[in-house]
Amino acid sequence: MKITVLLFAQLRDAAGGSPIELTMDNGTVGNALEELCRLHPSLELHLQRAQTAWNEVYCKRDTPLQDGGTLALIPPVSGGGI
Amino acid sequence: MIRIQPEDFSVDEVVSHLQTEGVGAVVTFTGSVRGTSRSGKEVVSVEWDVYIPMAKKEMEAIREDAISQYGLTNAAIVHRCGKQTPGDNLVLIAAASPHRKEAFAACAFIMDEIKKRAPLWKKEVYPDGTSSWIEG
Repeated sequence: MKITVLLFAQLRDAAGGSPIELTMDNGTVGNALEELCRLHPSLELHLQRAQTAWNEVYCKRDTPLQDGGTLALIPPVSGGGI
Repeated sequence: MIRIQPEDFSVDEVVSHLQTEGVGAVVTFTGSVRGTSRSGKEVVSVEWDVYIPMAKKEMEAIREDAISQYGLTNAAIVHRCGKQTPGDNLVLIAAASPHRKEAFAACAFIMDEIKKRAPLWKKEVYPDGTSSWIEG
């Protein structure tokens, strides 16, 4: 199974870029985060405070993954600029 | 109306889209770039990272929530991306309703929800060239 991981803001900086293409056995969003931390240990601290979105919808970490989907890692947002 | 765009916006242009029959009040909020951060540091510019397709979805959902909860006739959200300097416009919220009370409340609601839900991130750039991503 292949998924695309999108990273933003400080997460993208910590990983050195976005997107990251992940190849995994069947699993959940949580499994994908574990694999990302294995590949990029610098992400671990940031991921503790990040939300996740599967195919553009906020999701929990037990959400099952599907081949071809997009996982977005969303650090604390700061829209509005105020 | 939901727009995410690098270029500046016109409040009059957005308001003109909301003033339809039955509208008695249009309340607008404009956010702009301060020259200082929350901690008091001088800010020379701000830059944005945006998950555009999801940001548009979340903003549309927020807009629909506001229309439903406050009985609005219409609402608009315009958020800039790219890079801005102190004094530049950043965000415009406009809420239209038959009466002013609901329009004022909805405007505040929409701004609060954007700050919680919309996947946009602001980076402040300082005079020494350093920068930091802002949270919340």
